[in-house]
Amino acid sequence: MFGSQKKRRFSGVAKVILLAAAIGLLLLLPAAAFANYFDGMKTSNNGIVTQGAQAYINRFLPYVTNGGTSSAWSMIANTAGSGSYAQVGWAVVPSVFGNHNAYYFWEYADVYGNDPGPRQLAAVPTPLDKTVADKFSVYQPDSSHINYQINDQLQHQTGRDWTPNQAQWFGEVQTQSDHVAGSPAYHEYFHGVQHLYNGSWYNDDAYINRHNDNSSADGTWPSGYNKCWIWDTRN
Amino acid sequence: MKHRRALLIAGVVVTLAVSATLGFARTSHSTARADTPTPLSITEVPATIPAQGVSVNGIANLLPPSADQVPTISQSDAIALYPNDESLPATAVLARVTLPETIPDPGQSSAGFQNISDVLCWVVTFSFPEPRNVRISEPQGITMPPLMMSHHVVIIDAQTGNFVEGFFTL
Repeated sequence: MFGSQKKRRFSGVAKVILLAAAIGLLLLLPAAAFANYFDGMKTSNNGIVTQGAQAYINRFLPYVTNGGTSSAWSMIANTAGSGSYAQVGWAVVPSVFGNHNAYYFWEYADVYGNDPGPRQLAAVPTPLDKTVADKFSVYQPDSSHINYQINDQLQHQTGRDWTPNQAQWFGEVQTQSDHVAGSPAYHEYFHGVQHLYNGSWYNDDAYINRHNDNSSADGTWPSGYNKCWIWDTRN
Repeated sequence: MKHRRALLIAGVVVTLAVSATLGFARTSHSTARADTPTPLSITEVPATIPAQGVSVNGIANLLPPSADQVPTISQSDAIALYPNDESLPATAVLARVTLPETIPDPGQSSAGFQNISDVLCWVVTFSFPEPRNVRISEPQGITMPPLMMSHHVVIIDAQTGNFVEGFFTL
C-alpha cells in the first residue's frame, strides 16, 4: 500500500518535473537568439527624447544567402526594453520574399517583444537602380500612434506602448555570409538623416552618430553632415 | 490531491507560457474598425470565411464575398501572381479584406490613410515545410529571438491582380 502510494507520488512528481522541463524548453527555444550586424548610424546618446527617425536610403540588391536577410531602414526604439521598436525600410529575404526580390516592409514590436512579424509591402520597383533613394520615416504623429511612411506616403499606423529613446538608420544583415547594402565600387548612400523632436526634424551628425559592428563592412561618416555611405567590403 | 493541484498549476503555467510565446498581445490599432459584426479572432487564414468574418492576428479582417462579387482574377492566377521560387504548397480564399492599420481610428483625420477596407481579394497562403525564422531585423543593441512562422500570407487584389500586402502566421 505504502509502496503503491509512493509510486503514485513519484509518478505525480515525475509528471510535474516533465511539465516543468517542457516549459523550460518552450521558454529556451525562442531564447536561442541570433546576432545581427549593423552598419550606419544611431543617435549616440541613448537618453535622448525623440519621436521619430527618417532618412533617404538608396536602393540596392545585395547578395543574401537563402535563410539570411539584408535590409536598410529607419527605426525608433527604446533600448531599455526587450522589444520596443518600430521600423520601415526595404529588405531582401530569399527564404520568404523569393530570390532577387526586394520588398518594402515595416515592423512593430511592443514593450514585451510581442511582434506579429514583419509586414511586407510593395516590391521595390527598381531594386537594381542604385541611384534611386526612398525616404523612410517612422514617427509618432501624436501621443498614442506610430506612422510608417515611404516617400511621404503613409503606409500603416499602429498604436504603441513604449516611448522611444533612440533613432537608428542602418544597413543590417543576420550573418556575415550575407552582404550589407553597398559594394566597394558603389557605396550605399544614407542622407537626410534626421530625428524628430517636439514636432521638428533635426539633422543627425554622421561622425558623432556613426556605428559599424560588421567586420565585413565599412563606411564613411563625414563630420558636420547628416549623411553617410556604407558598403560591404567584398565584391 | 496535492499532486493534482501541482499538475493543475503546471497546466496553467504551460498555458500561459504558450500564450506568451505564440500569442500576439497586440497593442496596435483596434481590429474592429470596419462597420461590420465583430470578427472571430484567429491565428491563421481559414479555408472558408465564416459569415461573421475573421480577424487574423489583428492584421487583416476577412469577410466572405457577397453572392454578386465575381473576381476578375482566378484563384489559380492569384496564386501564380506571387513568385513562388520553392514551389511551396499554396491555397487561396476569396474574401473582402480590411486592413485596420490603414484606416484612421475614430476621431482621427483620414488624410493620408490608404483606407484599405472591404476590398475583394484573394488571400493566398504559402505553407513552409518547417517553421521559418521570418524576423528581418532587430534594433542595434537589443537581441531578439527568432520569429518562427509556418505560413506566408499574401493578399492579392482579386480585380486588378495587384499585390496588397504580405504577412506571416503560425
